[in-house]
Amino acid sequence: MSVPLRRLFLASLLRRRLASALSLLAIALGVALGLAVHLIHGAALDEFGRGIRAVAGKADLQVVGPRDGFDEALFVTLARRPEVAAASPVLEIDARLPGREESLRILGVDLFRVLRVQPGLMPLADRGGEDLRFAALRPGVVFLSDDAHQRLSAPGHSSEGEALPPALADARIAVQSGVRSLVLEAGGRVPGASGVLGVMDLGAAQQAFGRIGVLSRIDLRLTVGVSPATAQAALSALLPPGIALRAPEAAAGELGSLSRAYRVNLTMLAAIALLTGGFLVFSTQLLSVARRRREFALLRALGLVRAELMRGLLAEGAVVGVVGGLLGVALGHALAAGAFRLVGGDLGAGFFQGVAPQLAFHPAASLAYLLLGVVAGVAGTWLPARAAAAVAPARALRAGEGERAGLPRGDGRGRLAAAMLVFAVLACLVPPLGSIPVGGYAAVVFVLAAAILALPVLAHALLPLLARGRSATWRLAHARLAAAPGQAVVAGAGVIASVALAVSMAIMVNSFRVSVDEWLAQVLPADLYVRASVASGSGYLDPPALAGIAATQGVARVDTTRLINLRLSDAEPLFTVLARPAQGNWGLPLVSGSMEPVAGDAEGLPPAWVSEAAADRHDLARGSRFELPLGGRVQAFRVAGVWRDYARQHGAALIESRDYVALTGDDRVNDAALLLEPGATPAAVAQALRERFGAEHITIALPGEIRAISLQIFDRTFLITYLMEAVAVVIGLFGIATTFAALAATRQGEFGMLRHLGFTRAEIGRLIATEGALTAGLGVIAGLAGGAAIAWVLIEIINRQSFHWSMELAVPWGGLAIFAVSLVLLAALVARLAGRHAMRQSAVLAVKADW
Amino acid sequence: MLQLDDVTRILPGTPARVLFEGLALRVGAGECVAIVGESGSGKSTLLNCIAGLEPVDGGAIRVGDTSVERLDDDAMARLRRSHFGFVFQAFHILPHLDLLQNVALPLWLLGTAEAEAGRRAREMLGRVGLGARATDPPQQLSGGELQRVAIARALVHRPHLVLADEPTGNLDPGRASEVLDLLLGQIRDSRAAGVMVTHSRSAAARADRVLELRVDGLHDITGHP
Amino acid sequence: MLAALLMLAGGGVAQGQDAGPPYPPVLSGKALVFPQDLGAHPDYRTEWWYITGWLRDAAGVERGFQLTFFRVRTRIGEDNPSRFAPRQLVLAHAAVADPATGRLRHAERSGRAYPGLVEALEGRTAVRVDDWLLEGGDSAQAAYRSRIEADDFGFTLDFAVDRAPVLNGREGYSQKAPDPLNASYYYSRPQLAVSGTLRLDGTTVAVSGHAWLDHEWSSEILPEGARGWDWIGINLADGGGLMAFRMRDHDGRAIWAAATTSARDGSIRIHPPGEVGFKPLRHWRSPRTGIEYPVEWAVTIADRRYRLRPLMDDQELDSRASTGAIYWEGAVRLYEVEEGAEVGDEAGPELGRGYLEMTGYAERLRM
Repeated sequence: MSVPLRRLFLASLLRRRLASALSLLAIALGVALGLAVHLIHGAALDEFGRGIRAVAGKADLQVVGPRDGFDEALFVTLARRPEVAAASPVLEIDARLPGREESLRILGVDLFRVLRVQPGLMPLADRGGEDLRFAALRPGVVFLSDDAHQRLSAPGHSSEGEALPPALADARIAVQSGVRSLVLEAGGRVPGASGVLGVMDLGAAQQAFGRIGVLSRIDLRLTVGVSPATAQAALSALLPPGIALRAPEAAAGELGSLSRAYRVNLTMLAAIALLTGGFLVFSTQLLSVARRRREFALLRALGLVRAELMRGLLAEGAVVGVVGGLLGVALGHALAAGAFRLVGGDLGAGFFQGVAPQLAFHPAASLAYLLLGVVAGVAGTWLPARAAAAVAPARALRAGEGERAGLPRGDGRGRLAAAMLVFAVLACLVPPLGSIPVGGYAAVVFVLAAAILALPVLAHALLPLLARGRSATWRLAHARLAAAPGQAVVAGAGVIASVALAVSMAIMVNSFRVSVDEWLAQVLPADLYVRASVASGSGYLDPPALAGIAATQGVARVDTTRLINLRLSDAEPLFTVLARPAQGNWGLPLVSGSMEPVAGDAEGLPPAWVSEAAADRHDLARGSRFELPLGGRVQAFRVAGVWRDYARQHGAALIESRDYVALTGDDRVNDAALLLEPGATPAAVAQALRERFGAEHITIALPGEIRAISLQIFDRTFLITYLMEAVAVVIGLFGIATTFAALAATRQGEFGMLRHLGFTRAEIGRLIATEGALTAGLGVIAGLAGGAAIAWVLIEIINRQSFHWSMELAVPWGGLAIFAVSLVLLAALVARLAGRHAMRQSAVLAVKADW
Repeated sequence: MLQLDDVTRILPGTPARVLFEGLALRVGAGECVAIVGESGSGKSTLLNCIAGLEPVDGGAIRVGDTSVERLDDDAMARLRRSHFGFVFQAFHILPHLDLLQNVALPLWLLGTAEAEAGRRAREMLGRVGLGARATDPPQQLSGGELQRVAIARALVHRPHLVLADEPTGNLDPGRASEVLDLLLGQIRDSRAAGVMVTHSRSAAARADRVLELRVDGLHDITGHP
Repeated sequence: MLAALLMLAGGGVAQGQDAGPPYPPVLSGKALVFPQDLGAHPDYRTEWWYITGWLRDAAGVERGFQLTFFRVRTRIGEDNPSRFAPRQLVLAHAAVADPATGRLRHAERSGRAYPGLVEALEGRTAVRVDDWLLEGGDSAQAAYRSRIEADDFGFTLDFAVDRAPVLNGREGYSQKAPDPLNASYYYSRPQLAVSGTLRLDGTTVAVSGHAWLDHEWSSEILPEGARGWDWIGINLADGGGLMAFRMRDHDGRAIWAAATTSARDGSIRIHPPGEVGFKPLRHWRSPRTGIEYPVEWAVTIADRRYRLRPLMDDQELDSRASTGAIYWEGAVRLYEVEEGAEVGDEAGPELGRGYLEMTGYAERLRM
């Protein structure tokens, strides 16, 4: 590094410590957030993939079908094929632990075949001496992974959140099958498995969980010399509808695509935090350059080449970027580590629950985010550096050049702002790219740019309205802002970005929440809900259980829901089918079509009602034909309506229970909705049901409770986004702080004069605070407008395209008002604090300064 | 209007240095006093002491009926805004206010009604010859013009006392004389007391009295350049 | 007689949660009926079809081979309607003794019985574990065929039959210990004419030779206090067959022994324990496991004295990784020890070729 560079430029960073530190911190926070999201998600995916690999072992291909499984006949067909060296059948059960929140993933395996395909699942019996294979064949014995041992030996929680003793005690663990408990003996370990899971004999598992003749998966090892592609081509023809043959890695890919939209959303938030950091660098550099204008002019007069000046200034930005970036990389890893310790690998959306990832240093990702930090630093410095290099030295050297000379004039941007808005509208028309709404995100960026560019225009329009104040401080502050709106841009750009972000998220989340709340009210019209387990779990209600419910005193009517997860294609995530009476105790929030089947259907197809996501993905509307693989056959349905569904992002279809039972013969039920007789209280009926089935085997919920829990989950999901918004807002306030600290330093002469004229110290402080509040106020107003526009983009474009769900716009007026006012007050306080040392200086010395 | 008795100022440090002591001065309404002295003799300090911006180490300073040395910081600030006018060497005209607003600034501080403040500031600008440029931004003005604005600002609220510290220090001789005439004329017209610190003997000579500041006090050298 | 894969029929089964009826006892006086008894007897605890023999290729190279299919009734899940319930297990074990390799090539398959994939059918010999199989016809005169494919070897062989099954013991009731409860149903098929192909690594050659098949089923075969056994099955050059075994206790003493000699014309002679003697002559220590096996033997049956010498010393089979047993099972030549000569002397003329199996030299077999 050359001496002038070090002395003149980098040393300047040290002189303005506060501004440098805040810029650095802003970049560090932006980098840290982005990297943390990346690390947490990456680690969770890795861990999930590792689990998949351990479970899939040496399998070259996997046969997967509906989550509820498929007919085991396929197993013999595939095992006898010459392409297949070994086939290992697996029955996967998400076993509910009675009365507990936790569940245990149990894999029913044929250990003779596991040995050749997935050796990682080989159980090891505890009892010494006895042949382990025989022990592993015994029914009623489950072998637990080390993770499962650890998890289940720790105290647990009931579904209601009460503390319970460990699920695993005395090498015994109770699991639920149907509405009964089944005590399994923990017979040993599965040393090769990772994740919380148990291994059982396949035959025993089929019997214990009532899944005779059903498999969830067949893992295939191919004959030497047969490529997966060849085998796929040869074997696919043998597969019944709804069953896919794919590489084991595809499961991780499927989850990756499931959570991709959510991850991109979070990354965008982090990017906005980083962008706000970039603005901060911009404003501090701009002010610093303005202050050093004459210094630079002198240097240029003494022979510093224009390019050297430019380079020197860019180096300042780069140093801020590098140091901030490094700090951010470290902080990002710390954040990720903290998140793993506190909440595991799940970022709040529930995709990775139960995955316990390990943090690893990712050189490539760290470097990429470090570079982003440097880019933010350099880009933030670019304009100020160009401006500084462009100044004619002779003019700048002349005495009397005010501190304003280097600041943007901030006019004539109105047209540019309007252009940005037009771009934003055009971007909204761009279709999504692989379910990522790139156009939507571009629109967000354009709206932000428009809001920032429109700030001077806004100041022009709004400030005359505020010119009514009487006090000298108010008038001075107002006059200053009116005369130099460019300065407001410099100080307020970060505020606009962060406010727009926060406001848009607040509006979107509020709209979402209100819509979810209404939706819940619509889908839960019954008096009481009974559930044996979540879909695909081991608990279910069979006809005797249903008869028991119907016979319970006070129950007027029972409507049931069967949830099935199907595979529509090799590549798509699981599709949900709800089989239940279309009209009854379950509500259906239709957005188009009607509850009446399409009349006069020539084919006589049974009706189906599809969710918005299904309608979007498969291009369906009332009258469309829609095929579902049910019971090993393809069955066509006629779409009668489209409904709003916030629960299943990848699509769902509702069909009549009687159609489902007729097609599949599956008469089990996951949930039952009860309508009570007049006079019967939900509490009394719930008590009677608990006595009948055992409180731990069924979950009974009132619609209100389900709503409360759902909203609680909803809020938890958005917690991390609130956190990231808060960081962005803090960075935005940093912008106010650095700007005012810098301005205060250049305005000491002015403050000295005002003291002479009779301003008290408090009045000077009030003046700075008022200016801060006014600046922030303009930024907040621009941010509110931008935020509202971005909220619209989020709701109508980004959410629609990412998650395929619609919602009604609901603006949280009160919350926004409080937020805006507090931000303005906070900005006043921050400006006042930042200007503090300017007020300390002697007024006497200040007026002497030649400015 | 202004009365100094036995005023002493000792500069802190080791050893402490007596800047001046036993200083006495009386300036009446409509009277202009110029204070001259060697560099470092304490001319500006004396001015600051009068304005309450620097403490005195002995003696009494009275502006009208008020003893300055007894006032705290805020009370002194309020006294300044109502009774003092200032003219600085570096003008200190706020760049983001137009001329009228700059002149009206002291009236804003005193809470004068909007219309009244505007009227008086406009009138004052007219008196310094800039009535036609009331809404111009200060950037378009020359140094002499800026100092005229400053003079208007110093007198717009009819102060009892106008303090000027090297008011012509940044001006060329032609302008300096012009500005000085204006300053002294306005002070006399508004029946204020004026104290001007300057190192320029020719500027001082325009005052009613010229006093030289020495360690042992003020010495009247009027007419003895 | 059998190989040691039987380990799977471990005592753990009988403890635990028994399901279904008990194992039927093996009783004297029950006549074997063919072809019915060529097939599986799923009620009994264990059953095996065990083929050993010598193969010769066009170049004159001689190799030994062995193929065993086991069936085990676990008494687990007999009330479970799942087809995956592990009621019956079928296990297969194959090995080739190639002097050029210097040790055994061996492989195994195992699985729970599952229709169409893993089976031991009743009524005729038909056992398979995935793509490994052994099949006979539906009469006692029908030929057998087998197919084995492992990583480094494989064979597809036909076995022609020239005589009726040779019933060992008392009309097929073969006592294994002084207690008549420790017994099996047991017949042998000596002098099977073998033809087919043998693959070693990537090279497949046509082979022919002679083989021996044992089929044995039982419920309580291994007597209390027995550590293991020594068994031979020899195809004699004159067209006859010789089978002999002894059960050893922990001190290496015989607690039971028996032998069957048969002639080409179908005549059979059963030898009681007193007429059967095994005496080790030379030992070989496995460099892998450190276990010492007697690889040369003096065998006495009634008034005839024989000497056994291995095709090669190292025919140890270590299947601890899967079934858990270590034993020696290999191709041997049988020599005459002439009248008046000592057994330690140079052997007389070669009388026949067959297989020797020695178990329980590492630890007691669990059955």
